[in-house]
Amino acid sequence: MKRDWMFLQAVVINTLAALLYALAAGVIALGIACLIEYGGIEKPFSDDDQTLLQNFLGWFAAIYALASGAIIGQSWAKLNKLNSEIDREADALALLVRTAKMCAHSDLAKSLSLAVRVYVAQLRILNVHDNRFNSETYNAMKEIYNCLHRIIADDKDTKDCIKSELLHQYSEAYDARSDRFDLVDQRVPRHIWWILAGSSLAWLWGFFWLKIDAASLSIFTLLCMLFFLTYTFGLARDLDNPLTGFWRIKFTAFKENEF
Amino acid sequence: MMTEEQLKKTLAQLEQKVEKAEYEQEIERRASVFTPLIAAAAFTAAVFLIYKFVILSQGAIGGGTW
Repeated sequence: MKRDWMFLQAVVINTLAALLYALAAGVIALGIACLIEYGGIEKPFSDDDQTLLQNFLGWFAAIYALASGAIIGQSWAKLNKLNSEIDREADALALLVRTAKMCAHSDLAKSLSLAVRVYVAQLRILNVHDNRFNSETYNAMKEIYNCLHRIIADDKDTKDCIKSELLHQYSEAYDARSDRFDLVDQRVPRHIWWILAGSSLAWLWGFFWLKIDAASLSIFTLLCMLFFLTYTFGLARDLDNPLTGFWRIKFTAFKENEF
Repeated sequence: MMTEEQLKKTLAQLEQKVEKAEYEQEIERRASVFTPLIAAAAFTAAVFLIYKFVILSQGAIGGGTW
């Protein structure tokens, strides 16, 4: 019951935020509509203008599809790459723990295994709120390094090839962690969003100027275009930030691996 | 540097929080699937109503009055 309430609460908050955005966008659209319709601008209702408008909508569709497709595709690729980096980090830490079991002194290996498990638990708690430096995971990563240092410096009975492999797995995990934060910070530049929003509005406006005799067809085209454009824009925004929204990074690799 | 006992104690404390934290984050993620849908639906409705009642009623745009 408590969990259902939490879900409902999250849905209500998201709905209110979405409505607020839609209201702001609606006000802007109304302002532009008034400017065009009551600004004394001549409407393109002649047959020649209508033909040109139809052609323009067709050409614009191709350019718009390329631009929005590139943004969505790029963001999607980044999200997939991020999930791969998380998987690489989890695998490296799992291999680090397994390799540590080959050490001559089991107490040192056990400390390392515990330090890795602390790191994983911290990461699963923090999830998308994790930070590169000055965070619990950063300190836990340093603790893994301390344990590793103790094995390399104090454990004289463990073979060098095992120590070398331990260092390699630690470097791999550290590198994957750094790459994760690098990728998270990469975003589509702000002015691209304004260009996408402006071009969406320009394309949409063409449909308002189309002379369609049947009311049903007019309603159908407008509703489809409005919904498609707004949803595409929302999807692109959601994908751009891998820490928020529905399409975000997943730490399932840490949940499924054995440490 | 932490001792084995300290690590064990820290881990025990953290493991109690993991499930709850993961569940909350999953709820937050699932709830946000509606955000672009609701925004799209609300914006569609807002612009469509403006078009129908404000602009079309003036007879200034489009192909007809409906």
